[in-house]
Amino acid sequence: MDGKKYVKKSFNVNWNSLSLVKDWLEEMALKGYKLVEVTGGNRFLFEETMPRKINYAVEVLPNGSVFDTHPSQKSEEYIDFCENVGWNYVDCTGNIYYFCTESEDIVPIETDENLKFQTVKKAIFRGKIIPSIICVIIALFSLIINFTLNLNPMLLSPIMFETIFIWILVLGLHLYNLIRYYLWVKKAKNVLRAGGKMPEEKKFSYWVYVVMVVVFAVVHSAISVVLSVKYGDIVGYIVPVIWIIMFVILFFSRWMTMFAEKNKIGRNGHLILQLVALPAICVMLILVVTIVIIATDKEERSDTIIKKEDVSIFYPGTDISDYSVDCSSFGDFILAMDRIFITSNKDDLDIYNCNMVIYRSKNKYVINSLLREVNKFRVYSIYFDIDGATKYEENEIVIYEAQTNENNYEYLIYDEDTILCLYTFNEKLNQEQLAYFREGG
Amino acid sequence: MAREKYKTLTEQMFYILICLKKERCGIEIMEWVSDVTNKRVTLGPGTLYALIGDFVKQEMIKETSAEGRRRNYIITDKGLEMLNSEYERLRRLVVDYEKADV
Repeated sequence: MDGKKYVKKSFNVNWNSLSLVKDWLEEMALKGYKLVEVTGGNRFLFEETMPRKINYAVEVLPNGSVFDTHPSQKSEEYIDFCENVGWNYVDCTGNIYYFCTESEDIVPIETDENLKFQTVKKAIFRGKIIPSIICVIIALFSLIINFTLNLNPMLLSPIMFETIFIWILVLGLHLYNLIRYYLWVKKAKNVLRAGGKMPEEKKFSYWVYVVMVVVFAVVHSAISVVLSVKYGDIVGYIVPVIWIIMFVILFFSRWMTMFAEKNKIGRNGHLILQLVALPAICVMLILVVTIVIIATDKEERSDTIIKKEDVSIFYPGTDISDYSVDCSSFGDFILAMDRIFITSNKDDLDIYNCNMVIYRSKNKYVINSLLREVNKFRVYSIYFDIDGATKYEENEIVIYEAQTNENNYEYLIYDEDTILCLYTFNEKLNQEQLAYFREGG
Repeated sequence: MAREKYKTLTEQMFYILICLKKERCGIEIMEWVSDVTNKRVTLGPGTLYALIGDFVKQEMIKETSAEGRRRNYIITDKGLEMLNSEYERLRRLVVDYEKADV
């Protein structure tokens, strides 16, 4: 830039812990780093100089806004007041102003602790508490909707669990914010009444917060993917995508603040950028992800995704009985029978007609999960050995014939990859009988 | 902004209102208060800025003119009434103190 050396650092900045920032800046000055610029709320640019003692003041501008990007005409007066008593204005970000001086004997910027508390309290309320209240209301509303509309355990699935988990997390985090604020206000009032100084809250450092969030996102994403594989529910794969979108939005939000500060965009312009452009980016990202999912969606997914085929033709005028027995599976194919009834044809053969559901997956975890589901729904699952069956194919109708024991033959009839029906006979069908079924008899 | 519970002014508020019986800018207010109180009452620039903002909002003072960063203010009728009320209260305190036979 100008031959001077500069260093960038990040530091966690909160309205009610500004003395920590002040102390850190003074430590940096003693190490030879003088503050030059502050952007994005917590990114600090230092110029390398001779180490020396510099006093800093980090204050909240009364009636300022977190969306301020540079001093307004009104807040220029604030800077003028401070500079008049010997403070040098460095920079501002949002409603936090930075001043420095090398003088020891100087009037502090804030001399009324009660007034300082009111200013800080107002800043926190507007910048943090109001958004938290809105988030709590939305989270509560969503949870109520989810629990009242989806309490039926038959409908409960990993995706529902994920949705509820996320809303509980949002609710918990924002309630925590509200409780902390309430406790801090209560403590501050007691301390100030006794003549003390406004208490400040200790916070984690910036990088601790970053690591905590990243670790949580990775763990949550990993659990969701594992659940997806286990239950064959594709939606779990979307959780890592959602986290990536969240980080992208945070990055854009920070970038927009820095852009607004650099170009001295006014408070309203910055507000519009954050409240309009950010949601627009979010919607665009979600649309892109949705389009990618739809475009890559295949009709048949036989690797980890369950394909459920509702595959039977109703045969009217019969009794319907349910059976609930232990079931077995074979390879990547589960044939589940949910209704079975018996009819007779013109040759007096007993025909077992079934309403079937086919579950396909090559993933053993999915199969195990399906077996549990099949049992839960009280269906009768049978095992059909397709590899050991004899195949007859004509006019797009495929018939598999399998002999399960000496007096039991099973016939599985396909029509363009859809199972039409499964028949069980006590003897092997001849060609004429097979033709009868191929013709839809 | 004034102590609503007690309906009184703090020392800093009191001196600002007295100072603005004459049109002055913020920097002059700080200097005047320091001089009059012999540096006993310290008015920080941030505190002054906040109090002026509140006084203007409460219509106890008003802005008369602005030259760049500098803005001039003067007390209003409402502010004068509040100031006189506070003065009366303080005077009664002094009288009661002098009369007290403890």
